[in-house]
Amino acid sequence: MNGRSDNGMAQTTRSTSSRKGGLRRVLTLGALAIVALAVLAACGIEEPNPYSHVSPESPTAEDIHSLYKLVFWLALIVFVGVQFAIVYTAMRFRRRSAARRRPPQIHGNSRLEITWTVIPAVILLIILVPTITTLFAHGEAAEEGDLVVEVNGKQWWWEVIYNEDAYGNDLGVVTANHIRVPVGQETIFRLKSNNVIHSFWVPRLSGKMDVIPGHETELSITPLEPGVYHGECAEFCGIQHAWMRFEIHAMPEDQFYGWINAMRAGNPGTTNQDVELPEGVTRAPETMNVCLACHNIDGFEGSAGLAGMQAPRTFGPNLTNLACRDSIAAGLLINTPENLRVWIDNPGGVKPGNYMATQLQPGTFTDEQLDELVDYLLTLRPPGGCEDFLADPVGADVTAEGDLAATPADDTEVAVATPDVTPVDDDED
Amino acid sequence: MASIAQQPQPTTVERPVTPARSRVWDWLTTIDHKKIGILYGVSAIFFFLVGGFEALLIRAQLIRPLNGIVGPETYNELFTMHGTTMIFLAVMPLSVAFFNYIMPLQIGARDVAFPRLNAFSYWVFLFGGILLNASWFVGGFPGEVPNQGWYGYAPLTELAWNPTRAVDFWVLGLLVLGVSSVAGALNFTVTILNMRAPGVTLMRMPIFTWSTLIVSILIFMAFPAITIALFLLAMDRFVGTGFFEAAAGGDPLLWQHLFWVFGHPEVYILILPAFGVISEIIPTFSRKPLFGYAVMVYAIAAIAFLGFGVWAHHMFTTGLGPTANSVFAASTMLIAIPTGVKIFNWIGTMWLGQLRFTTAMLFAVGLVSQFVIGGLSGVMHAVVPVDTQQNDSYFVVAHFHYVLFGGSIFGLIAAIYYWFPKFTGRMMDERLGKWNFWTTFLGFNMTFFPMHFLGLEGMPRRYYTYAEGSGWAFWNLISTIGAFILGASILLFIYNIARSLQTGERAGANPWDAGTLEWATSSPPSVYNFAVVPTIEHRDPLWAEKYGLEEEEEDLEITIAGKETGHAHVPDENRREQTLMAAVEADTGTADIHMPNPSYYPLIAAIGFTLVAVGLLFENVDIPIGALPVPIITLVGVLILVGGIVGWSLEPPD
Repeated sequence: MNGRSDNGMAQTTRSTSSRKGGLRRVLTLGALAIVALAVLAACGIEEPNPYSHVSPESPTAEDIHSLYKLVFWLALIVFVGVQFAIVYTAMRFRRRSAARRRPPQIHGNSRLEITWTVIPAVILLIILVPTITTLFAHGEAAEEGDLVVEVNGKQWWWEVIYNEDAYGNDLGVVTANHIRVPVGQETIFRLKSNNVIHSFWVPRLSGKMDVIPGHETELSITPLEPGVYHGECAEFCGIQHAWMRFEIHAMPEDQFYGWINAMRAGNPGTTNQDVELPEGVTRAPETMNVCLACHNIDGFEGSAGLAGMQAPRTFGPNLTNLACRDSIAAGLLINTPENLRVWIDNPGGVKPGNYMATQLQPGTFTDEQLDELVDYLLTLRPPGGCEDFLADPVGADVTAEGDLAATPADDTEVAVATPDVTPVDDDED
Repeated sequence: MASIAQQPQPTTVERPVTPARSRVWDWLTTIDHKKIGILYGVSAIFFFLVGGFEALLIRAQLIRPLNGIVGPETYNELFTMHGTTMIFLAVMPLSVAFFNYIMPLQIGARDVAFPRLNAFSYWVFLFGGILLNASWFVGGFPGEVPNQGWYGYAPLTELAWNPTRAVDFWVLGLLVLGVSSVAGALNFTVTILNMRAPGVTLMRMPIFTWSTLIVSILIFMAFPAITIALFLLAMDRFVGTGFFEAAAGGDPLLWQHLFWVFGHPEVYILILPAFGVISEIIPTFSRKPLFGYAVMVYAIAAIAFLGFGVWAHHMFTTGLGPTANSVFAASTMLIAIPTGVKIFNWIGTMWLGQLRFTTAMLFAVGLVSQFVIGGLSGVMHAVVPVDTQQNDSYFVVAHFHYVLFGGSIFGLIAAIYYWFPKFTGRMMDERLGKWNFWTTFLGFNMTFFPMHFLGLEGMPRRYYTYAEGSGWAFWNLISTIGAFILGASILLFIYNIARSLQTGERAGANPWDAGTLEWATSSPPSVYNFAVVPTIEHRDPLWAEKYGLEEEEEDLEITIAGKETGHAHVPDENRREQTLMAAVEADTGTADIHMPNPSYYPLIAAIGFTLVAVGLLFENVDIPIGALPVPIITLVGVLILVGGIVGWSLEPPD
C-alpha cells in the first residue's frame, strides 16, 4: 500500500527534478525539518506516561494502535510529499526579474486532475477496510465477557458495582474510582449515568466510551499484564471534569477474589458511643454521622446517619476500605492522613464546586473533630491490612509511577506529593 | 467591449437624499454593502481579539501543572466563550465582511439584492455578539457566563445541572446570531443568482463568489437545525419540556444529532470562504489562471454536499454501533477527496507561474501547507477505532486549530492583506507583513503542533489543570510560549493595519495586476461601484482585456516528466488598451445612477429584535397580568421590532 502512494510521489519528484540547485536546497531543508521533528518527538515520548495510548496494554488497544500506525505512516508520506511539492514549487517558480512575458496560461489538465483524485481515493480505501473490520471485530468482542462491572458516572467520581461474576456468584460489592479486575480476563463495563454525560477512558487499555443518561453503553477490556492502568473522564461534565480520574488494577484472579472478600466483609462499626463493642466492630466518632448522610460503609451497622437526614447513602462514594485506596477526591489527592484532613476540612478549596463542599466548609468540624475523623477513617481497612489485596504486584515496571497525584509512591508515606494539597488557587471563592 | 467606454456616464453620483449629517449617523444608517462590509470586518476583528485574549488566559493557566491563574469555573467559561466567540463572532462575520464588500464587485453589481436586510443582518449580529458577552458583566464580574463548552451537550445545559442564566445567554445569543446569519445568507444567494452583470455566467464567476454562494446555501440549510435544537433547549429551560432530559423521557443524544447536523456543515461555513480567498490570491500572484477552475467549483460543491452526511463522526464514542460508525467513517473519508483535489490544484496553479511572495501570497500558500496537516489528522479521526482514542483529547484540539487557524484565519488574514488596498486606497506595509507572517507561522505551529503529542499522551480537552505525574507538563509549556508568540504576531498585524491606514502607499485601482472584476473599480470604489455596468466575456476579465487571452494564443506544449500533458497559450503583455477599467472608472456623462437611500429602520428593527431576547433573561421586571407573567422588555422589543419593520416597509421608494 505504501508502494502506491510512493508512485504518486515519485511522479512529482521526477517531474520537478530539472533544477538541481533548488532541489538540493529543498532536500536539505526537508532533512533538517525531519531531524528537528525526530528530536522533538524523542523529547516527548522518552517513556510511556500513565495516560498514553501509544503504549497499549490490551488486545483492543493494540488493534487500535496498529491501525493508528498504518494511518500515521500513510499520512506522513502524503504530508512529506505535499509539503515538498509546495516548497519546491514556491522556490522554483519564484518570479525572477520583471518577466516581460506572462507565464503559460494553463487552465487545467484533466489527466493530472483525475490522477490526483484517484490516488487519495485509493489511499482512503486502504484505510477504510481495516477500519470497518476492526469496528465489527470489537463490536462482537463486547458481547461476551467473563466479568460484568457496572460503572455509574457521577459528578465527579465513578461508582463501581460488582454483581454477578463469571461463575455465577453474586458479588455484591460497591466501591468508587478504584476498579479491580482479574488479569487476562475480559471485563465488560456497563456504563450508566443519572446526571450528565461522561466518558470512560483508560487510554492504555481501550478507546473511550461515552456514559450517557438514558442509554447503557458497554466497553470490553482485557488487560494482559497485571498492573495499574489510569483512567479519566473524557467528556466535559462540569466544573470538576479534570478531577474525575480512576484506576483499573489488573490482578491475578486469586488476589482479585481476596479483594472481593475483603470488600464483602466491610468495616463493621458504629457511632453509638454507649454500647459494648462486639468483636471486630470499631467505634466511630459521632461526627461520622455527618459523613454517613451521603456515604456508605459496608458492614457499618446501627447508624441511621444524621437525625432527620435520609439522603440515600449512595449519594457519595462508598467508603468501604477507604484506607487502602491510594488516592482520594477522584485522583486529585494522594491518600495520606494529611491530605485526608485537608479534604474533609475544606473540600471546596481543594476541589471547587464539588458537592461535598455544599455540606462541609472550613469550621464545620473543629480541629479535634477532624483528628478523630481522620483517625477513624484510617481504620477503614481489612483486619489483615491492605497489603494482601491492594498489592500492586508488578505495577512498578508497568506504569510510570512518577509523582502523579493519584499514584502511590511506594506505599511509604510521601507526605505531600502534589505541590498543593492546600486549596488550589481559586478565583471563585 | 470597446463600446462600453462610449456609453453615457453619470454626472451626479451622490446618494440623492442624505443631507450632511454626522459621520456616525452616516454609518448607523448606511445600507451600502461596502460600508456594511467594513462594519462587519471591524466588529469581527474586535471579537477576534477578545477571543484571542481568552485563549491566552487558557494557555497561561495550562503553562504548568496545578496552576492557579484562573479557577475551574472561570476556565470553563473561558474555553466556552473562546470557541463560541471565534466561530460565531470572529471567523463567520469576518468572512461575511468579504462576502459583503467583494462579492458584489466581483459580479459587477452595485449593491446586494436587499441592502436594508443587509444592514439588519449586521446590526443583529453586533447586538447578538454584545448580548453573549454581556454575560461577563451580569451580576458581578465574571458574571453568569456560558460554561458548558461551545457545543453545549445536554443535559449539562439543562436547568438541573446549570441553574444560572449562563446557558440562557448562550442559547438566546446564538438564536439572535442565527437570524443574522440566515438573513445574510439568503441575501447573498439572491444577489449572486440575480444580480450578475451581463456575461458573468455561473462558470465565469470568481471562485470567491462561488464560495460565497455555496457557504450561503450551507448557512441557510444548516442553521435551521441548530435553531431547532436551541429552541428545544430554551423550551426545556424556560418551560420544562425535557426534550434532552433522560429522566423526563427525552434523549441527550438528540441534542448531539441536531447540533452536529448543523455543526459539521458549520466547519465548511468557516473554511470555504478562506478556500475562496486563496483561489483568488494564488492565481494573481502566480500570474496564471486558476488551475482546473471547473473542478475547483465542483470540489467546493461536493465538500458542501457531503458535509451534511458526516455529522455522526463527532459521535463515534456514543455507542452508535459498528454499522452506523462504518457508514459515517466512509462518508467522512469521501470528503478528503475533493479537499485533496483543491490542494493539488492550488499547487498546479503555482506550477510554471511567476510567483510573487507578497504577504497575502505567503498567507495563502501557508494555508495550503498548514491545512494539509489539519486535513490529514481529520482523516485519522475518520478511522473510528483510532478516533475512540483521539476524540475529546488534545489531538482533536490540534486538528481543528490546524483547520480553523491554519485554514480559516490564515485565509482571512491573506484576504485582508490582499483587499486592503481596495477597501482603503492604501497598501499594507509589506515589511511588517512578512514579519507578521513568519511570527504567525512560528507561533501557530509552536502552539498547536505540541497538542498532537498531548493528545497521544492522553490529555483530554477542557481540563483546567493537571498533575505533574500526568506527563503533560513539557508540551503544555511549549504550547503556551507559542501562544504568546502568536498573540504578539496578531498585535503586529493590528499595528500594521493601523499604520497602513495612515501612511500606507497609495494604491491604484489594480495594484496587484489581478484579473477579477473588483479590481476594475477605483480604490476605494465609488458608492455606485460601476459607472457603467460592464459586460464580461472572460473569467478573468481584466487579464483578458489587458493581455488578450482569448485571441492572441501562442500555443505551447506543456510536458511533465517528458510526457505531453497539455496545451497553453503565452500572451504578450500590454497588447491592448485597458478599456474595461477605463469604462468602470469613468465619471463623466449625464446618466443618473440610482442608489437606494440610507435607512435607520434596519437598526431599529435589530434593536427591537435583540430586546425580545434580552427580556427573556430578566425575570424580575415581569409585570404579571392576571396570573400570566409578561416579560416587559420582551414586549417592548416586539413593539419596536414590529414598528421598525412597518416603518421599513412604508419607506417611500427611492
